[in-house]
Amino acid sequence: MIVKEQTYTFGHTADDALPLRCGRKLGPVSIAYETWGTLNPEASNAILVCHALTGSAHAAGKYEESDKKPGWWDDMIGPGKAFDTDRFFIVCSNVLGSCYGSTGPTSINPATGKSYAMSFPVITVADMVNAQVRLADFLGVKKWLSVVGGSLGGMQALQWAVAHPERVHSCLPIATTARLSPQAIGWDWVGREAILSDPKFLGGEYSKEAPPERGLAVARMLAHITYLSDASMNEKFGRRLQQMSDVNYSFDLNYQVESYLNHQGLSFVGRYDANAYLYITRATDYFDLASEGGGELTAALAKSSCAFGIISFSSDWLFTPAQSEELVAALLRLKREVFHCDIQSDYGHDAFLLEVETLGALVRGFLSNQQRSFRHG
Amino acid sequence: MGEGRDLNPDQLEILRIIPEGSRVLDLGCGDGSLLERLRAEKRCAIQGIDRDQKMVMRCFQRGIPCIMLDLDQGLSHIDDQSFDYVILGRTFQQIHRPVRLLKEMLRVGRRALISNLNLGHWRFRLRLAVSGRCPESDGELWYASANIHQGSHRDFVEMAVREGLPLGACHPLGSSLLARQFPGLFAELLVYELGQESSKS
Repeated sequence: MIVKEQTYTFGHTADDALPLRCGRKLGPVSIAYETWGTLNPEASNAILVCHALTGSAHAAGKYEESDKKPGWWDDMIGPGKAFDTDRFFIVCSNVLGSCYGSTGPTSINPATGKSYAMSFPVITVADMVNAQVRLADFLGVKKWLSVVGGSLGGMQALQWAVAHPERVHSCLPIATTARLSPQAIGWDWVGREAILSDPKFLGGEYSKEAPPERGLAVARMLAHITYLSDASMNEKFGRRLQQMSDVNYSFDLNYQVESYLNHQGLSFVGRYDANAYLYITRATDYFDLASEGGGELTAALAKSSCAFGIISFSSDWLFTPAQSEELVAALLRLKREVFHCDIQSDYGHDAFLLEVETLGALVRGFLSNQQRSFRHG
Repeated sequence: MGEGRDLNPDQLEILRIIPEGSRVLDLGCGDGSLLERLRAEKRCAIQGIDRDQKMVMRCFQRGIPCIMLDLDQGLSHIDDQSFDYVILGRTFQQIHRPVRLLKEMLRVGRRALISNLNLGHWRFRLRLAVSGRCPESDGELWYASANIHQGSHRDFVEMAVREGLPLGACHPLGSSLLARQFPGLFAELLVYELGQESSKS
């Protein structure tokens, strides 16, 4: 499947600019997106896939046959797959604040001719979704058959359901939460501190050639641990040593797990921007769906009118099954029909990218039933 | 849809008892067959709960709303009196603290319907008398079975009295007159109604 990245830009005038939660307005705003499949004439088969923290719009397919890797959810999206591109029109857009094509801290601020860097406004999940709303208008999608996403993508899906109920027929929040726990906010804080305290950070004004790579790598290594589980790390690494028969009584890397994390940190530095990481983790910290209902999760969800399929993973300790159950409880309180599965898996938070078979079966079943009940208006 | 297996006799009895338009919660709903029929034939608002991932997946595929939960954890997610009927079909015997669950059912629902095997049935009595062995109720030997709380019709009724559970009508299954007259001896399965007011059926 060959796909190409496209960009939609709006907000060239003050009137058209995107109003943000922080009170500022942002314009122009570019949103990078990719699509698969064809929008049917009734526009009733459109599905929005929302990506996670450091993801991109490149959810499936390849740009060229020779690409080493396909998109990040290629196992799930394609002809005959759970998100069947023969039946559905799938859209994935890069979030506001990212460094993968949408407007973010690496973009040029037209007022200064330089990168926004730390002058970029602090954005929220609601802002990300409001930018997607503009993209949906542009694409001619009045109402999504489903809005789906894992992790931060799930937060966007929830935000869509509550803030734009008339535009969402069903919502599939996966491995996500209605609000970050203090533990998760804590991890984000430590990760950002690593970046901010890197001498090369320079208040965010670092050059492309000399980014704060140490800080960003540490942030990524730390975050990566929260995406795994004790069981999966045991399985994957145990206490095995990296190319040595005994520990070498130094602080170099000795263990396989150290080598793995080091590799994760380094490869992340090559592909992600430190400022974007600060902005996007902050947006997840600030996410609290209850704020859409005056502080009450139930009141917030009462604004939604879609069907919910909530999927968690048993070993996810970042966004725990209990956090998904909070959503389930609130929806039951509202006398809504609720679909919820806690997939038994050892893969931790990352399971939403790995448990493709089980997740695929759930998604496939949920979508085909939702397609039958879809109505405009 | 409509691919569900045929209902068990106790599920058919529950389908018969539940009035049109009720809001129904099925605990241990399995593949959702009963709920599907309740929705189609009695226009019920439905919700299932099951702890088995395979069953929850079946429900997703069939469009039966189901949440994944172990009943031994209780029903704390669910508000008081948020359902008209709460069903526990052939699951009572697998619950660690069944009385607590029955009380939970009456907290979240107006009425509860429980189907349960009667170990006082003459065939079980005969087997015990002749072979000296417990019944193999789920195809497993007595020590391997998940059925940890099995009892007779009389046991169930006495439990209800002792625990202060408002037992309503008992529906012995089977068309024979004997099963209706002497359910303790001749009804292999019964559906019990719990709740304050008794239904008309």
